[in-house]
Amino acid sequence: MPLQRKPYACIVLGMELGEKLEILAASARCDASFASSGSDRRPRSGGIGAGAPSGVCHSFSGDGRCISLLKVLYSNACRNDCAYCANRASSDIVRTSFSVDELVRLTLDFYRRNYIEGLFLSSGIFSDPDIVMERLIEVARVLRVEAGFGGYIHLKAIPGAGERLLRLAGLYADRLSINIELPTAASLVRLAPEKSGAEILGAMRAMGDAESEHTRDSRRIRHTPNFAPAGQSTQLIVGASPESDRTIILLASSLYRRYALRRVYYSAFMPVAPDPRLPAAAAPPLLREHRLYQCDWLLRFYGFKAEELVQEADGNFPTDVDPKVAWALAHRDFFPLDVNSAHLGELLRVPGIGLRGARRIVATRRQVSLGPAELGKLGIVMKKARWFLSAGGRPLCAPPEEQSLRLLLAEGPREVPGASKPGPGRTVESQMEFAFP
Amino acid sequence: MKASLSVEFESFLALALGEGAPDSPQVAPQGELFGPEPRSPGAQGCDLGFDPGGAVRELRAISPRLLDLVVKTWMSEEGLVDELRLVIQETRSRGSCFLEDYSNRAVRSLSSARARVDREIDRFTGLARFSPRRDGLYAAIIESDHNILSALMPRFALRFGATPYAIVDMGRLLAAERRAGRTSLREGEEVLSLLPGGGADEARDLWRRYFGIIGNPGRASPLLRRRLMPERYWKYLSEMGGGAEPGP
Ligand code: SF4
Repeated sequence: MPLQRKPYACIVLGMELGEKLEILAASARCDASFASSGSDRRPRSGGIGAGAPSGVCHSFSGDGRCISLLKVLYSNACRNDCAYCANRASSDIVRTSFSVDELVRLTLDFYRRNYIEGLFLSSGIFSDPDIVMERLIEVARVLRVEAGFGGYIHLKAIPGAGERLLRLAGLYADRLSINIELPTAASLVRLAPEKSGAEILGAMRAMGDAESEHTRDSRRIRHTPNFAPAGQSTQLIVGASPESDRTIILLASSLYRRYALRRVYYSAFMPVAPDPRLPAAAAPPLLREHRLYQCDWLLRFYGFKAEELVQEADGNFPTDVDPKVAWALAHRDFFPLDVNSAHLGELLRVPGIGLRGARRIVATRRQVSLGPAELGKLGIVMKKARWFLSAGGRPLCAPPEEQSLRLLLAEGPREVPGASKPGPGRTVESQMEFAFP
Repeated sequence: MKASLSVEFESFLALALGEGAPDSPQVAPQGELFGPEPRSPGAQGCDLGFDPGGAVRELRAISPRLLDLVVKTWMSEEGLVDELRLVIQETRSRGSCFLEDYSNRAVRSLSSARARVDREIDRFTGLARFSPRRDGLYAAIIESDHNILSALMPRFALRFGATPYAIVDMGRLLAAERRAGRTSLREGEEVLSLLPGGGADEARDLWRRYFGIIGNPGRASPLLRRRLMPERYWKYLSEMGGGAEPGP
């Protein structure tokens, strides 16, 4: 049963900017989205800033996440009562709001000092969704039109806001997102009763349609304005509700297909306040989150299908090996692949061969025939790959039976990275190759 | 305006091409290191018959990747001249696909050096911290492993628009300043005139407060952060306790 609500709208007036910043940044940090990539926007004449297509990390927070954007809420006052959220109406927290001018000034000051690539702006639903959405759009409009800002802007679409406003937001934002948060309608009803799955998917569809229309128009009309050039993303919470990895990854895959989403983020659930609707407080399921990111990467860049990736009877990824190794162990008949003739898509299925390694193999074998010695020089992780490859008709290593091979390929104890693990300085999405081989 | 960066690059280029180093050329530093245009051969002032502008054009014609490899090898300051000479010769005779022959030791060494330089450029694209000075210039101090100043400067041109900015490489006592669309170089003690000033900076204090709150305490992972942002980069990062990021 939901907790008794306290008034949500007692906004503290006269708070100094630094205090607001701390409150509204802390309120936004459970959103896993961090990317600033995918846009090559140019500033208007006399303006400042531009998109960096592959994104830039400007620092790393204490949890190891890339800091690329000023990520804040416009207001943490919210009339909804989502069980998993610190800003829910029944939470006893200090409520505050930025003004448009404060946010514009902070963004420009931080941007000029090279602290950030731009702004990530979301908000609690402190009023009618259209009114909240209008405030977010106004911040983006002032930045773009009045300050000539060409840096990155990520705006949250407020559930329930009208389609006209979503289309307007896309004209100023580089990325739009709306968080689906829970993977099934039943969990949404239980944990976020004021939210509607149909409304969230409707907003995704509207933004996707607007993006397609703009793409079509821009082929015919030269000066068609950009519409959210970095596309749209969403977030799913892992572990607040009972759904398995299979349910989550099938949903993600279908969102990629149906709404052309650029990214789905997975956020390990961390209890913020006791609530009988939530699982008992435990450590956040970071390994599960990590496996979902690995699987997501396989879907987007390695040509895997969601349906083939979760093999386990309970619908969850194994903890001892990554999803690519798990697939290879379950498909021994697919291997060994001849390193001198396998096509790129096949090489990408070999544990130990990443995107870069596969491309290097294809490029180098045009010059020389490859054997184990050459492969080691191409950045292939031979201790994994050797069990799955052959050269000149002979396997590189005769593989042992499955259980022994599984032990050989198991991951040792390691620090489980958070959602973001780009290499320093550079970019974000392009460096997620960390996970494979 | 000093010419040291271009001169050093031209000497390196001459060695890599087996032409011998140019003799104290009187050159302007504009050109390959600060923009896409190769310098015209007439501007070289080199009396050994080596034409750096022509060499750059030739390398680019063979493959833009080859030219990039040459420039990044120079930036790496790791020597590798013999490897570079071999790769240039082989690429001239076998075509640009030789650059993808990673079974070749020289190709691997140069590719690794280039990757290190690219990583360093990417790092400082994110980690260079600019402070406004009273004269309106935004200045940043860096101490990079490689000589990346000339690659770093253009990365900020759109960020700053018409606002003048400068980057000072304290390790090499080199600096570049961009004003009104032109980039100029300083070296030695002259770089000190481009350093940020000292004093209060409200935006920097707000940034520290933001940084202090944005990490999720439930997922704290200082080791991961240290791996992603090694300690040697913290010196000028106010959020990491670096004391050397002065204010206006
Ligand atoms: S609507 Fe958003 S801010 Fe409000 S309680 Fe739900 S998740 Fe939190």
